[in-house]
Amino acid sequence: MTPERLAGILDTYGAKPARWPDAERAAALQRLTVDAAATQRLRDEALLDVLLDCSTVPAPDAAMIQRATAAFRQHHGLAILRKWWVGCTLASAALAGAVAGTLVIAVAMPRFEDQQLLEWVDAQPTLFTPVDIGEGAP
Amino acid sequence: MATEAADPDDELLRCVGKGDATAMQAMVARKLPRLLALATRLLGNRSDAEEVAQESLLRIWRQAPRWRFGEARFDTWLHRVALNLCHDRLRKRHREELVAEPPEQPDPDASPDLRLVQQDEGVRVAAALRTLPERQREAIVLQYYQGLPNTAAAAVMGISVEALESLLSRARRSLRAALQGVRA
Repeated sequence: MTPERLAGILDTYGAKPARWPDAERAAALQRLTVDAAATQRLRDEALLDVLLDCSTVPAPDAAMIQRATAAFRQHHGLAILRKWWVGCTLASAALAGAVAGTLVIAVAMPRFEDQQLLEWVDAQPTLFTPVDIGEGAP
Repeated sequence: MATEAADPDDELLRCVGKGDATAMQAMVARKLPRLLALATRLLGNRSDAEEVAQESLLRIWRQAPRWRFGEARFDTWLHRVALNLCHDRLRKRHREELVAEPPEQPDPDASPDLRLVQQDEGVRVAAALRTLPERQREAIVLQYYQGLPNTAAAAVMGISVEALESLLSRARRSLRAALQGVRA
């Protein structure tokens, strides 16, 4: 820790060691014990810290806390509804798919059977014997 | 220099993500005063600050169920959210000021000393903070008032630690000059 760096730390972070960079705190404190100029600078920065600490912000009031918790409940309720809605949508989609599939099968199957029947009929030898017109008569 | 220690908000955040009402109340108690203080000091307006704090909390409720633990420090993320919301407010305010009437001038007959005497130190410090350039004000609010480690404050502002130190040093110098003669 150089005297310049210690001066820089005080100038930047103020007099409270808790606010100094973690990695340099121990060395800075050690350096302070032998650096009179830095000790004087520490006192000056401590005065500024005391002034800065005079600026406080009033805590949130009960109404504000209530609004925050109400917003959470509303958000959480909506999140549950959203999950439920997504679940219903998926279930509905699955049900609709099943119904549509059933309809397709119901409509398409007879046609398929007709087609199969025709093909089967075509594949069969004729059901009628050739008309005897005497050509084959002995 | 980033610390790898466990995030002190992890457990609470996990419970909030599951919709635990008690955890939510604890989260409000832990974060709302900090969010309100940050926004009040940056915006200088209680009403705007309350809206920013409430909106930041809403972002927590939305983010908690899908928070990826171990990837980022929650408090740093939350400060970045609040800071961005403050930036939005300040931009909006700036646009409104451009089209609005010029601000009322101070009464030249009132003695500056008298006005100073009427204000207490806290008010004067808050006023001095408001005169700082925006980035200097952000730096000192995050590091000094919010108590963020220098690495976290730099991360929230999206700058290096060296750049943060430069802003802090200039901010403290300006504040020292502005508060000369004031004794707490």
